[in-house]
Amino acid sequence: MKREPLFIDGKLNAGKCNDCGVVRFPRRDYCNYCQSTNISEYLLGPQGKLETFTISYMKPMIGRMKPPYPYGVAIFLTDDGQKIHVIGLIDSQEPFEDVKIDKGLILIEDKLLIKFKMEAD
Amino acid sequence: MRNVAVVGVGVFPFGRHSDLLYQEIGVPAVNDAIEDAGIDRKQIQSCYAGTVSGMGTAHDIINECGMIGIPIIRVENACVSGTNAFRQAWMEIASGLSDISLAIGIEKMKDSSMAAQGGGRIQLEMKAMMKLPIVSTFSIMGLPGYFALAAHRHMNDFNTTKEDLANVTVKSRRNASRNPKAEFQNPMTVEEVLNDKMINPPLTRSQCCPKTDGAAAAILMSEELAKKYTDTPVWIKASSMTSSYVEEQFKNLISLPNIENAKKAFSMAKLDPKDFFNNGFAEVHDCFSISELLHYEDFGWCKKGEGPKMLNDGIPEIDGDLPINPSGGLLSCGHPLGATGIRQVAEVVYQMRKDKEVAKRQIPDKNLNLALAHTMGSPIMGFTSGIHIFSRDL
Repeated sequence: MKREPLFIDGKLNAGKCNDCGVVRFPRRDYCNYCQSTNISEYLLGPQGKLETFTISYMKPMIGRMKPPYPYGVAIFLTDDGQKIHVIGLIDSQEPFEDVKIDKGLILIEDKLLIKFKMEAD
Repeated sequence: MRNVAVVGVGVFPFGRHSDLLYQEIGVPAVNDAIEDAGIDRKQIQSCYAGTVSGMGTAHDIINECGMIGIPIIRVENACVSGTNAFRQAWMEIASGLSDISLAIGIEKMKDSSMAAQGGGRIQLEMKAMMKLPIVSTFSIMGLPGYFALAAHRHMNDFNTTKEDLANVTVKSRRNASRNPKAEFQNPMTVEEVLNDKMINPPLTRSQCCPKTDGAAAAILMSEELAKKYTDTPVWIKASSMTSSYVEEQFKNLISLPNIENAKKAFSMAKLDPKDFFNNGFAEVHDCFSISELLHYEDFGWCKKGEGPKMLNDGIPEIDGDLPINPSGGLLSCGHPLGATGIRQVAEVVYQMRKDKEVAKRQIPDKNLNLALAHTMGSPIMGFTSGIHIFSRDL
């Protein structure tokens, strides 16, 4: 088990199974669908779409995030149309009016956290 | 495999028990189950105890109950721990290893954080977790958050309203007002639920199950012994579990990891979900208001998106076509992680037997032929789902 970097060239570092074609983020040594170890680097993003979101009014179980903060699930499409769902923080200010379901977003590169910025209306 | 029945159950009231030791809440539940089964405690051959944070508690309980010497196995599987302990006891009898086995579920949560509840792992690994990119991102999201994400998408796709979600808590409290062992027994209105403290929109506090102290126990027996000790055995027709990893779940937030497990359980019991209408009832894992609506859909009791309609039509009410969570569920009974799965089994047994314990919330006779008990949980980063199906006739 190797610790892979989160981002490569501003895109998410995912893996594609060369045997069954399934893309998985984060990248792992085994494919969860056909158990193959024949996995290649596959980069996702930086543009995606917001599938859903919420706002945390509670402190996180671990870490130093100060509530309220919004986060959500983004969908990134692969070349062959697979939808890859990724959770991340949303870079927005109260009252978070720019955060809307099905709206476009872009990845913000970071060493540790996955973050999104909503595209302009 | 041999047929297995539940013959005795016991529940210690759920709530805050800060001044009581684990064994002080566990022993009464075990003794009640033994008395209920009508057996001599010497006959119990093994014990499985579902608990997340209660290291060594099963030994303390069994020691106090005078049964030290039998194998005692602690089972930890997050919110499914109690269901898992029950499944292990079922497996032990079904396989022929034991004829009588005891399943205990116990948890104390009021005076600890969820990080401590995680068996200490979260505290031990915090530094490492914060350096691992994907885990540090998951850490921003608490459990209410995961279900809030599902709720928002459900609202977007199916025009589900905040009121629909609040109605789950309203039904839960209405049932719990007839359950003296539930933590919250006061009825609530839709307005009160919606005006409660906001946790993760759209979920307010009363749409999130509380951290609770509690214990429950069940005595399981082989067919031969069950027929000897009771006229009202409750038969286990299916025991089914599945797992998945949290990243997989984001693929379809409105279809929690229970769909595959429900299919497995119904197949094992040779039943169709529709067989439960006007014939059965269920105790499902309503950890949040949205969860219960998703379970209606994911277990095949209504179409995807029609969970709110099923609730608003009164189908899951105690006198409805398919009563769901007559006890008040996790939202009102509270959710002591290891105890919940066995408390559900106790509710199934009390209801099927028309026991005085459930006199104020008794499900009508026509719906007592089948029952389903379900828990789901997240052991740190993954998901697990456990289902049992019961019947009154073998």
